[in-house]
Amino acid sequence: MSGAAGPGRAPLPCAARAAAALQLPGGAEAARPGVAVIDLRFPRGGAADVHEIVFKNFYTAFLSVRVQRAGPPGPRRWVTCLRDHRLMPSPHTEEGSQDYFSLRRHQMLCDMEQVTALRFILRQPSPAWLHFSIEELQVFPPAQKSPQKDFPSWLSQLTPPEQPASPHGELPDPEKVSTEVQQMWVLTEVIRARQAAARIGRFDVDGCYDVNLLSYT
Amino acid sequence: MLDPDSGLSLTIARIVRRLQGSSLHSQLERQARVSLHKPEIKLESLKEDIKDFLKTSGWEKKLQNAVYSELNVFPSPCHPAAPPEHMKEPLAYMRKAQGSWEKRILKSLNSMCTELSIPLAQKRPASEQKELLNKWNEMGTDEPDLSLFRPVYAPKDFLEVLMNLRNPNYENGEQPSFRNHLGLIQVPLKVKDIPELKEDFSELGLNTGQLGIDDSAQVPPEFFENEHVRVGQKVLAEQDSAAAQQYVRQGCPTALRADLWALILNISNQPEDILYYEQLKSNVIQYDLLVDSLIYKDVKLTASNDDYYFVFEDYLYQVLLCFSRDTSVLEHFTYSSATPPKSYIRGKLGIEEYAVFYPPNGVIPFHGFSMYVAPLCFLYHEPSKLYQIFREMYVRFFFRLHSISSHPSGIVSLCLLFETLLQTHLPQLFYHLREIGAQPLRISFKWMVRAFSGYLATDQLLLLWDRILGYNSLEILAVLAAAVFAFRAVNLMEVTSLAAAEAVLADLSTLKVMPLLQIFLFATVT
Repeated sequence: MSGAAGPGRAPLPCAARAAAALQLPGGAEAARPGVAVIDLRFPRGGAADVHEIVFKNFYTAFLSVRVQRAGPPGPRRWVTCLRDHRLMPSPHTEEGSQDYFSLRRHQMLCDMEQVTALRFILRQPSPAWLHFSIEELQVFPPAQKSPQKDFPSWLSQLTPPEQPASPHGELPDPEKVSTEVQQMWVLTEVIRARQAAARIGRFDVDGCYDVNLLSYT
Repeated sequence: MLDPDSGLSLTIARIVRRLQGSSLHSQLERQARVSLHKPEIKLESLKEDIKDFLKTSGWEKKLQNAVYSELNVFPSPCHPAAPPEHMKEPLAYMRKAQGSWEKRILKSLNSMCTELSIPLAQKRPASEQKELLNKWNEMGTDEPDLSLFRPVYAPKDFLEVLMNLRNPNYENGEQPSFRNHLGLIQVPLKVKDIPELKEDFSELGLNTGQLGIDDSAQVPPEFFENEHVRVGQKVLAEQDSAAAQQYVRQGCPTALRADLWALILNISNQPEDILYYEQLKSNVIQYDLLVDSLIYKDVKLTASNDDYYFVFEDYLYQVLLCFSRDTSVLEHFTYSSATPPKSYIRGKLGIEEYAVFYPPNGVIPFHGFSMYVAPLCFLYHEPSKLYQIFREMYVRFFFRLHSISSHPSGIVSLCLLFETLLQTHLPQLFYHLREIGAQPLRISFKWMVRAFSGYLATDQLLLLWDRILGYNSLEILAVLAAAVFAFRAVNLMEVTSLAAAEAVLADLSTLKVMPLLQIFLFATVT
């Protein structure tokens, strides 16, 4: 399974307990309560800064996340950092049911530093689905600054609106001219370095297209 | 779900990657270099001056059209953690169903190959190549013996597969409940209801002029038609794809349709495109494929028997035979739930360097496939342009009509949309047809799979396909199917068997598409 790790990002090691459905006290037969909880702790009671949580949905409609943070000794409190985040726009239908999601720091309601435990509260109010859960849960720390080897960052951003033209009669700023020319040079170099995406169009191998029967794998 | 900023930069990066190395890119580079000689380009404002030059000379517009085309064709980028099959189809059980369906097709093709002892592909001997080259423009006069060939599958076989599609995580109980759909499709996909459709198709409303309604003989042309033609000519002069797409939502004037569709699909018929088509033609001459016989058989069975399309028989061969050999079609498999069939060169089984796709474009034609091409023959007479238009229409729209996917324009969603619309707005009719064993989808499925080609009169069909291009969605096919049932509801309430229901709906050639759609969406009491 492809990891979501970009340059300089590795998921934090953690142990996630399987989803436990909510049980009502005194309930005899196994009801389907539509609420499940997944607890996640870091190994050896450690704490870490959490920047991003990535997971694959499996028919969960709403997600709440609560965290426990390392702090003064005493009873630890659970703090809600995400409340009823909607994963499936229409819980009776398939939309969003098996999609991948990212929860980022800026979506959280509280600080995510020195987190010791995470609790994911899954809700699926529709009785149409037999099981629901979230899968492939990964937690990422804040990314280290790494040099962009891929595109220069300005290539993948929208250009800001044009600045008004400088008044006539002034000599052009040599600094500005040299940076402009340098940028153009970088652009041409990047383009030249890339292989052309031209299609060759041949479907045979070495002039031969004598094929076997079609394979099933 | 991606947050907006990273989604945008991913999209920009993807489009830049795709346009790099394209002929448009090298043309832009050449233009920029040529412009350096012009006096108005100054070194201190090099970037802005070149950008201004490209804007005034119309090249920026061409780039905009290319970007717009990419945005329309490719879906929004997936989450970085998602594997490639997730972009093809997010739901695992649908991927599995598509895989089993494809396996059935491959088995069928393989067994045809072994039974008839005809190789899947063989090189033509030189004499046969010369003969075919001479006969290229009149392949319809050929009468090969096709009696032993049979189409690999027909739409009704595909309908059986869709009927049996189930989500293993869905409560498909035996007891009738709100979860069991009353129609044939049992998967809980999200489909739009009439208020949402009214909003999406707002340009089809009662207060907006339409070609197909407001250009009829009784309406003086000053009210709508003349102005609409004038706007269309202006759009063509501007060469703006996005504007053209918005314009055709109200219909295309017949004289402008060919150019407008080419503008929307971003087809310009450059010399390199003509050369590419000629190369495909030489591939047809060189190699004889088994699928060629399937194409011949399909054309002879469908288009040649049709009153409107039999004159285009030769064009159909010229397009479809080349289509089978076009490896650029393989690109659409990144966003289609289907997978191209694979094979190995004889004697090199299992060696990856000798793995090839068969047919080269990965698409195995089924019964009625040639009807996707036939209506386009009315618009385009130059084979290479006709070919490019068809190829673009296929990789944008038609592939969704014969593969299992959860996409809103996929055939499964269209079937569910049709059944839901009918059930919600004509419940008595739906119940009656169900009781007599005539599930409505059994009748309308073949219309939707062929995008109504061969069922409607040609001018009406082209008005319908105007809207498919304008809205970049096939949902209008399901709406039209429901509208047809609504129109013939009185007759249908009196039938007592599936055969009689089919007879009521056998002939759609007199129907006017746009009034039906307008009444169903905007003038029906809900």
